[in-house]
Formats: sequence, structure tokens, C-alpha cells
Amino acid sequence: MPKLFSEEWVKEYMRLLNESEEYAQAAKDWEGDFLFVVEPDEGLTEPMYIYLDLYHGKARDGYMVKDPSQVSAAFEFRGKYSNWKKLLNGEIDPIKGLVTGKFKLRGNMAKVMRYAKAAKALVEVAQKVETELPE
Amino acid sequence: MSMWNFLSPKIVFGEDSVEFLERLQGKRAVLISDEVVGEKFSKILENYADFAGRIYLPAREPYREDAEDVAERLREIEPDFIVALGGGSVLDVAKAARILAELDIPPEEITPFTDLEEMGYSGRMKLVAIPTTSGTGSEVTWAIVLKDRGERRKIVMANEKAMPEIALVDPVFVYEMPESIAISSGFDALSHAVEAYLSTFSNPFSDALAVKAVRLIADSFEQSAEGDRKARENMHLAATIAGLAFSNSQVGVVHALAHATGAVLNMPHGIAVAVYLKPVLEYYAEKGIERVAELSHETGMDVMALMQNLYSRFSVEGHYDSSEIRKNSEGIVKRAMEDSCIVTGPFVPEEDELFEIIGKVIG
Repeated sequence: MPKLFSEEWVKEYMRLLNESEEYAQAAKDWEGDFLFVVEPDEGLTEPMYIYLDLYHGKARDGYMVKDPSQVSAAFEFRGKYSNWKKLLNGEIDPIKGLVTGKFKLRGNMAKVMRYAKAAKALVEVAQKVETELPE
Repeated sequence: MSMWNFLSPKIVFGEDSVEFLERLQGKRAVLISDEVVGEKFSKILENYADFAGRIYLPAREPYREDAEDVAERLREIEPDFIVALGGGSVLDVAKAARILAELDIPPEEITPFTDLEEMGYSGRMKLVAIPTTSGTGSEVTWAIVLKDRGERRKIVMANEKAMPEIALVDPVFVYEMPESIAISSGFDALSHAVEAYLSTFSNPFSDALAVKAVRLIADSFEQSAEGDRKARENMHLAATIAGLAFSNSQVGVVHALAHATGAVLNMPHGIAVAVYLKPVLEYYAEKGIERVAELSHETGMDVMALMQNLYSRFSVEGHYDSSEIRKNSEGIVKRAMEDSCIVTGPFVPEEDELFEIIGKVIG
């Protein structure tokens, strides 16, 4: 079982995302890469980062990032580790999580608003990755 | 249930609540209204408040440029208070404009996720929202809908900072509302209550408000359309209650389709909502979504029968051209899929499911 945000985890996430017909449809015109950030809390001592290049309904590149200053992504989605766990367990709706400030999004908000269904599918696919969570 | 919150302005309601405006004495206030409503009611307001400026919009659904123009005027006038008097169009423009007056951003950047304070927004202009129709609930919501002329779509925005500070719900402004507006805005209010209850974001607070609103609407809609004053007052309250319900839950597929159809066919929002409310509920029932039956149980009435009765009573099917909807169905579905309301209903539809719903509308 891959560890959260490990290289193995990203590859498995990309594989599932690229198999998802729902994501492919909802994001068929989407162009924009993401930096996902897990901020430390609840046993996680160091932040974790992954980069994902999303293009026309597919993930065309993705990898674990050690130094976020080396990555320039159009969007950044960040939140505390405890909230990421809840998101991946389906305990937090991604939209509610953003509205209540549990997660922060940076980038072109107006663009994201037009792809709400794709954003939901992104999270649903992430929930399908069997994940080993750091204790 | 994960963390959520309940947002509401101070609500002043009942006959003569317009007197609340006396509290603005000594403040620098500006009136935003439209050419028709402003002419009709400004005298009433002037009994209680002096205005440093008046901004009148064209009487039509608002474009993003309207909000940008009003923002420019607000920067010139620099009011402490904005009194917005009108239907949802006027209130939505006022809500957007007071933010844009402080922040030089495109209107569509006002999203639920945008940290306006971080961008420098202080909220120094307080907003008093006075509805003159009984439907949108805009006086108590954080939502804003503007039209994008170029893309023929509606931009659906929302932000906590868009919420008015005061909602002034005085039935004096709706006693003489034209029958056609009483009907179309009534369907809008009903759709807010029903969709708020059906949304996956529903919660005990929004449920209680939605149920009360549906009951009030069921009791008063027909008599309100006929001009009965007490029924008009009840519908005015119901619209505000339904606004609170959906603002603290969400709306769903009915609104996604109504926004898209309104933009593509230039159809008034209340009519567009009426076009889709019953067909979408029928579709939900076919999909086995139990919340429709739960709403009937909670309200003590058969909600689908209520819909059928209201559709027959007000001849909804005679108020739109189904051939136009058929001709433009691809554009409507495309825009509906891009509407943020598409993910907050009781299920998230695929394109073909929206075509099925449209099929029910066009027969």
C-alpha cells in the first residue's frame, strides 16, 4: 500500500485518474497544473508536496516534490494533514472544506468554479487510492 | 457532520420596517435601485433617509458591466451605507459592486473560496438590502448572479463578504407587485426551499427553514398572485426564509439548468426555474432519491401534488417556448455542466441525464 504523497502514491493516483471516465468528461477542456500541499499536524512533522499536471481530462505528469520553491504551478491546494485524512476518508466535502477554511486554494478561482464537477471527481478518485497514512 | 456554518444578516421585517432607515440619519447613504422601482418607491424611502447619491440601473437582468459601473460610482460617492432597493438583479449588483468598489478584480473572482480580506477588502460600505419582489432571497444570501454578455452565460458567485448587513423585508414594497412577477418570483422562492432541502449540503438549520418556507408558499401562493395583501406578506417572508435556507445549504440541478437557459434564451430567472422545478423533481423521484418523500413527510403535504397543482393553476407550460429549448439544448447542457450548482444537488448528473430532464420539458 503506497504511503500518502509518495512517488508510488502519485503514480497510482494518476493511473486511476486516467481510467476515470467521469473525470475525463468533467475536465475535458481543463488546462492547469496543481501543487498539493499537506501541512504538518497530528504526527506528521514535515510538509509533503505533490505536483500534478492536468490537461484535457488526463493527468499527463505527476511526481513527489521535495522543494516547492522549484515548482511553479497554476494552482495550489493546501491543508493540514488531519484535514487531508478526513478528505480522503470522505468525512469532508472538498467544497465545504474550502468554504470553511480547512483547505486553501490559490490560482484562478473563476476557472475552478466552472469545473466544480471535475474537482469533485479529482477528490473521489484520490479516495480510491489505497493509502498508508503516516502515524 | 463535518464543520459548516450558518450565515444571516440582521433581518428587519413586517409592515413599516422601512422606518429602520431612520437609523441612517447622519450617515452618508447611497440608493441603488432600478429605473422602475426607484421611481415608484424612492419617495417612501426619502421619508426616512437622505441620500448622498442615487444610482438607477436599467430594469433588466444584470450584466457584469453593471456591477463594474456601479462600483465606479460608489468609489466616487464614498458612502457609509448602500441602500439597495429592488428585485434580485438590483440586490445582486449592489452586493458585487460594493466589493468591486474596494477591490480591482474581475467579478467572477468573487468565489466562496476567495479570501477577500487578504486581498484588502474591509467592508467599509454597509449594505441594507430591501427586496421588492418575493423570490430571490438575495437580501439574505451570499450569492450573486450576473450575466456575461460575451459568453451568454451566468456567472454564479458567492462569498461570505457579499452578505448584506441588514435585510429589510417590508411587504409594502410587494403589495402592488404585478401578478406575473408574483408568480415567477413565487416559483423561484419555492425552488429555493425545495432545492435547499434536497441538497447534499442541507443541515438541520436549513431543513427547518426550507420546510417552513414550503408550507407558507403552499398556503399563500395562489392568493398572493390574486393580490391578497396578507398572502403577499406571507410570500414575502417565505422568500426570505427560503433564501436563508438555500444560502446555508445550496441549490442544485434546477438552478444549474435555469441559469443556463436564462442566459442562452434570455429567459427571466423565475420563469426558467419554473420550467425545470417539476421535471427535475420527477427525475429525482424516478432515481429513487428519498429526500423528496421526506420533504412531503416534513411539510405534511404531497410536494409533487403541490407542484402539479401550481403548474396547472398558473399554466407554466404556456409561459415558455419548448421549441427554443429544444433548438438550444446542447448549449444549455454545456453551460449547466459548467455551473457550480451542478455538484450540490442530491446527485451529480452526467450530460445525458440533463438531456433526459430537458426531454421532459420539451415533451
